[in-house]
Amino acid sequence: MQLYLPIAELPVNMLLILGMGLAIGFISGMFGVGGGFLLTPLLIFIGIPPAIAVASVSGQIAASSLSGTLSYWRKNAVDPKLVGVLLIGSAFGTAGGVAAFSLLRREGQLDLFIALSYVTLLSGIGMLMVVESGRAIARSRSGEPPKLLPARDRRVGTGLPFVMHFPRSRITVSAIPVVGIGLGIGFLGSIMGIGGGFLLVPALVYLLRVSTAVVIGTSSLQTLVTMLMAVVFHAATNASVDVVLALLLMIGGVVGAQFGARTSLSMKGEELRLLLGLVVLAVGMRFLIDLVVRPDDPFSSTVLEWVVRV
Amino acid sequence: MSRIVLVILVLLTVVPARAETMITSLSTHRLQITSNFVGSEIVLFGSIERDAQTISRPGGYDMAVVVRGPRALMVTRQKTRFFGIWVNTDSRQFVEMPAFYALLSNKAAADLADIELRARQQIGVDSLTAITPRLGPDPAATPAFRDALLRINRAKGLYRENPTGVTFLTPNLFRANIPIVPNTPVGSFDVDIFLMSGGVILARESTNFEVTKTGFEAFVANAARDHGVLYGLAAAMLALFTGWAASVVFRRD
Repeated sequence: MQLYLPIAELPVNMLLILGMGLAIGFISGMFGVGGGFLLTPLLIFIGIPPAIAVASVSGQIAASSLSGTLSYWRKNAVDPKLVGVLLIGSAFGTAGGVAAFSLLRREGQLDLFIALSYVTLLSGIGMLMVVESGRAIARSRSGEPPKLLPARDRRVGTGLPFVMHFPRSRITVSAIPVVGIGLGIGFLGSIMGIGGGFLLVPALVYLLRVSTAVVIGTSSLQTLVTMLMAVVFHAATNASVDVVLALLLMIGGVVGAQFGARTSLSMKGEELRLLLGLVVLAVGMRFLIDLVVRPDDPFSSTVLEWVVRV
Repeated sequence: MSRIVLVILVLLTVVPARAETMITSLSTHRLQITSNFVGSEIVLFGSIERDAQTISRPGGYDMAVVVRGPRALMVTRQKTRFFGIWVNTDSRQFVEMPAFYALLSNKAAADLADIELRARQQIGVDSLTAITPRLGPDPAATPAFRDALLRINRAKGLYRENPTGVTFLTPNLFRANIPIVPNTPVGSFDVDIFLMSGGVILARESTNFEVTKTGFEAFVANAARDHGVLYGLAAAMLALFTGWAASVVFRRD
């Protein structure tokens, strides 16, 4: 079933795209991440131009994070105040990321930047997750009781100005690191075509010490709003959002996510984290290999701009 | 002065008119891309008209049909190893390159005419003119970039040659199937038809056709180009709706 994509300007196999959305949705539902870090490279691999892949995946991530956010919202597991402060940073970060995206694309260094970001971030985070979950699994095997985190409010960076209290997240923290994290995630997310959930969750847990009860829900809401902004910015500056592609990905993604979420209920948290860590690490390694191995053709060629476009 | 030039021009065009002329026709001048587009083709028919004075051509006729898509500024980049990783370090821009090029003929490009004539009339992928405005630090390397550009576009199916693309139905009637590839650029395409014999052009005809998106595809593409912000907001609404619908459909509690 071939379907012509009006912005990417090429026909794709509809079932292939739906299937990819389904598979990535399954993974995203299972691990509670957006899955953009897998979906964007896959789309580029099947021949979708990188700019269109990145912009359209943003729409897909927004859709899947809305269904996640709604279910966490019903369980009261979202901290809207924290998201509000994060968004101050990510609004600027996303706008900056989209602008940097156009600039890097023009200079021919976009692929390199994306690959380097993937290698460093995915390998780093993947490694952390594997080590941390490996330790947790070893601990539970040895029968040692897990360390209980104190249930009182935690204070982070209160020496800095603009100290704020977030009752839902049970933290008291200066707004500066929060805005900084939002800025970084918005920037990287819009360049790499990822929601940044796999970056935001560790940042919230380890840097801000947000209560684990609201981490995933808060990260989903933050991802939702950031990705909605990314869609609008990409559409306004690069006209690179392909709604047909995005819709196919969304449909596959939201359905897959439901099955993924059901599967994850039957697995232990640390096993899930170990699996996700291995997946993330594998993708990072794949990008590293592409960077260091001699390419088949050292030359590449693209259209820079059209002379007359009717 | 201009009148003299005009007279000379008229004379120049009239004198070879004693030789062959061509009548050609395309099956369509507007190819519309719909949602189920997977590539297509446009058929060119032509007949060679001779009159009593036309001398016989012992070598028979050759046909070359040159199809050129919309022009673009293209860039070719070269990766070299830099601290262990492969990085784009050098590039050349090529101005006004056709985004699609096809040569349809009844024999290989090299057998049609000599290289000068082919380069002048842009007959054959290898004789395409590729002008680069800046030669870069190493002008001697530019031909390698040009070759790479042609090679990559050939590999993508955007530059192609078909030495059996023109079929003679009778000695004076021919047909050529112009391929429209699935990843075709959108815009206006020029078609130049050369009637040749023994490496000389006897007659030349030009026509064109347009490849456009239609219906929903055209609506989406125009909206994305002309109303970026609104389009982005609509795409965001679509994402919200899909996510919300999924959470309603799959709600378990």
